[in-house]
Amino acid sequence: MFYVLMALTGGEKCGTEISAYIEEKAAGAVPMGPGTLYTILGRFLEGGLIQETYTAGRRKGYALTEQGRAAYGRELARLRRCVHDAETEPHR
Amino acid sequence: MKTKCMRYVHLYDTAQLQAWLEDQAARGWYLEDAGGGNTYGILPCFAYFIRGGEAARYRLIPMRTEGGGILRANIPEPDQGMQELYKGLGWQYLCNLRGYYVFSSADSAAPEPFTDADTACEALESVVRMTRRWLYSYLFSVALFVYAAGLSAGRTDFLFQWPIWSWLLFYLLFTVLVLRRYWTAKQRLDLARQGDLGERSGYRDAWYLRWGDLLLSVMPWLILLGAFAVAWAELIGSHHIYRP
Repeated sequence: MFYVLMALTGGEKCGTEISAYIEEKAAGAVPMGPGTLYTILGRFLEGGLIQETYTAGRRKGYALTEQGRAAYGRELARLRRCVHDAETEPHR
Repeated sequence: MKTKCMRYVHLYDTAQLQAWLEDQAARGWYLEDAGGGNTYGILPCFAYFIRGGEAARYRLIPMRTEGGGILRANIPEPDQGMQELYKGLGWQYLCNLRGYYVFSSADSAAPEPFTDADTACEALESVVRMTRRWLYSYLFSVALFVYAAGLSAGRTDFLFQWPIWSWLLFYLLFTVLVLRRYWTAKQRLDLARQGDLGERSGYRDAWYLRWGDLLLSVMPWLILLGAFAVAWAELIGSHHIYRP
């Protein structure tokens, strides 16, 4: 889910562009099938984290809302904290 | 040259239908369209297959909406955004079958539609909820007709009793079918919760399942037709009809 928000921080994208971005960014470590991506986009639309920006033919574009940008920032801070805690753990 | 024909889709068990379709494709028969074999069709056991197709992988994606009726045109198609997303990742929409959208792919490298258990479970839970509601409504109908049969027990009027018993049998048979759908959807959900996202599962090609499904699907309609025919014959032959 985090990667979907990350994909949209650089501007609006359609579903296949989001999937291609994640594939490239995570180097295949985060598989994103169309069913999973469609469900996540639906959840984000419902939660107001993203909005539809255009419909070109059958394609739909999505962009982050202010609420989505804030959620992305919070999640990024949480993950940074997790990594920091793990790295400063003396018994690792 | 493509040969098209209507074939028997023998499984009500949707968890296994996917594997069966892929085995049929390996034998040269490719699913093309649902024909009468959609969710609520009168002929729910048949679908169109072609020889000479390309798809080798099939995936059944649970429908999220509950629209539909006896007529196929009423069953919602996946929205265009969904179709485009699947197409962009290698999956082509084919038809709807038993409350699922059927997507196919000739590309063995196309990603699985559901790549995490969380979203797969969310989709399957909607099928389980929908089927449970159907089951309750059928059980309610059965209870209603059992009550009506009880009320009519003392009557000897054939025209009064025959429709009640026919409808009771009709709803009982459909309840068995819906119960089976509910059970298989629940099983698929349990598998998804354990991390099995339905890429591949075996199937049992047992004759009793094949013919049992066909019989259960066709029998309620035959009973209703029979009931109308008998009631009509009784009316024609009796003095109930006013003949000037």
